[in-house]
Amino acid sequence: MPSLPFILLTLILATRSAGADVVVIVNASSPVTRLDKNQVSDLFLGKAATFPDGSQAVPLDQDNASGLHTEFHDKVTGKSVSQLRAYWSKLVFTGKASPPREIPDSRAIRSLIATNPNMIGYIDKGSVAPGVRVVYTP
Amino acid sequence: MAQQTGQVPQSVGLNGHRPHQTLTHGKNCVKTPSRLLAVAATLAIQPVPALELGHGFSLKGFGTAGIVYNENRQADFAAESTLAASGAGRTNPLTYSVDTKAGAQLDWQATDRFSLTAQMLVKQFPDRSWNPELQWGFVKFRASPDLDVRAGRIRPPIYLLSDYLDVNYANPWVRPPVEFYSVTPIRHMEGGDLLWRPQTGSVTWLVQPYVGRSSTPARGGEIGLDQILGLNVSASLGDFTLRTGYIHTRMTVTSNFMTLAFGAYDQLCRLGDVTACKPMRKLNHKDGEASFGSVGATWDNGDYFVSGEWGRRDTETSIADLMSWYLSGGARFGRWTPYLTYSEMISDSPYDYDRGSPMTNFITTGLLRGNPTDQRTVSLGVRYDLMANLAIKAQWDHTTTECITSPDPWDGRQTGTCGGWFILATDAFNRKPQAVDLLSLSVDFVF
Repeated sequence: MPSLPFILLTLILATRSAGADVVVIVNASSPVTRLDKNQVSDLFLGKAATFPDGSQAVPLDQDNASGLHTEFHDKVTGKSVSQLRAYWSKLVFTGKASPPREIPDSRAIRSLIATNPNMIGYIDKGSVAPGVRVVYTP
Repeated sequence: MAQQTGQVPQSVGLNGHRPHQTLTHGKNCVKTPSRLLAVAATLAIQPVPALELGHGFSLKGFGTAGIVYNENRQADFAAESTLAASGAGRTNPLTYSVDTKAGAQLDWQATDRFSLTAQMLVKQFPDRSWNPELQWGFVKFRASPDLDVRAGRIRPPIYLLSDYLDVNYANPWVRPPVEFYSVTPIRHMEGGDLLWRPQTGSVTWLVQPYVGRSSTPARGGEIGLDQILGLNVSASLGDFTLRTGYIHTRMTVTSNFMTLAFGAYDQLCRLGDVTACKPMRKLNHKDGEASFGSVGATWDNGDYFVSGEWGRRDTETSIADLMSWYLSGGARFGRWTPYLTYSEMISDSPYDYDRGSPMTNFITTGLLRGNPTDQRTVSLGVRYDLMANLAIKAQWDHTTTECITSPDPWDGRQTGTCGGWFILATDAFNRKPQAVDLLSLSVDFVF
């Protein structure tokens, strides 16, 4: 059973990470307008390789040391950094799939997505700019 | 740690003879894997998921440094009963040979559609060597975003965890439940498969048919599988994954004991002992049909997980038909993941034969008693995620085995087999049901 200090620590961490607002974006010219949580989660966990319309999807992850990475995965895939590593270990050591590329920050992700209609990523809400479209807000 | 290579006395004959018993012990070269693990452990500290080498090449690795303690000096515990050279217990109460292993994988993304994967694994093989072996070596062609074709050396997806059986970091436990994961002793095959991932609504599917053949060195012999035909289907929806699989093959078991037994049947049959002709044909050790069907499910919401599998093995050989299953559950409290597992293997096959001449009965009973007896294990353990790519695990296993005994036709003494999946057992171990406690400690990493 979790101890009291542990519960307190979890609460403190939970409050801290609830700060930033994260949004999921695609290229503005993409036919994808809306995705649900399961669809986004499947794309970032490599369970699905295509958007609902059948076009190829290339997910971009934030650097795993960033607060957005923690917040996104906590809300969408439900996995911690360790759990994600364990999860991907099941796929990469078979050559079945590779984890999404990790990109250093929101600005870099936004500019990559703005030039590629197959990419999907998540950035903080404040970084949204023309050229990308928000398709899901966790 | 020094590897004990001393001679273990062998029992020969009716008293619990095992067809795959080690035939060659002795002064084989034993390379310690410690240097290799040290290199791998240094690499594991790096927080990157893989080493990108440029030109589409990337290098990944995984490994386990583990020790197992078994106080029972009458038999060895091994993770893969048929494929292990030795284990913890009789050979050495404390050993690293059960769980310690390391793997390295080189991937080359040649083009958008073509990629090559080669994975080498080092662990103790049935001949006691620690030589690296190619586990995966295939070319993959992405026919469409949801269809891959692979050819080369691949691991057949017989179980839910087949793909990453050696990547202990990927699993919560020190090792996958042995009652279930010892049932089909095969590491890899030469062949091909299709990975088709269609989507229906929110359900993501994996449909994976495969074909191939394989030859696996076992303790004191070899297991050849020809005309492997299999299908693996899984469906996942959110936190839930359901999986089923079936494999059919023609199995040829080669061991000195089998050669001896079938040679004797042949002689007896020729000499006019007709009772020897039928078991010779029925217990065929060459190209005998064998199949394994299984279903499994996992549910993992991040905080809690439950997983279980059930499977059934059928063969038209002297190798037993059996049923096995496990159920495991755990909870994650930050870095700590305590878990509890129950697993069971129940044999359906006879261990005695009395429908022939005394000689035929002797040989047939000897063959049948080479099969494992029923075994159950309760495991309690905890995983501690020290870093994002390094976990420490401690596990206690309480394993019980059941007995098949009957009076010896010559002296009336009770003889039989009570070994479960334990290996290199003494006659004393094989005379009564056993309860064995194991303690395991391991460090798993990936990079």
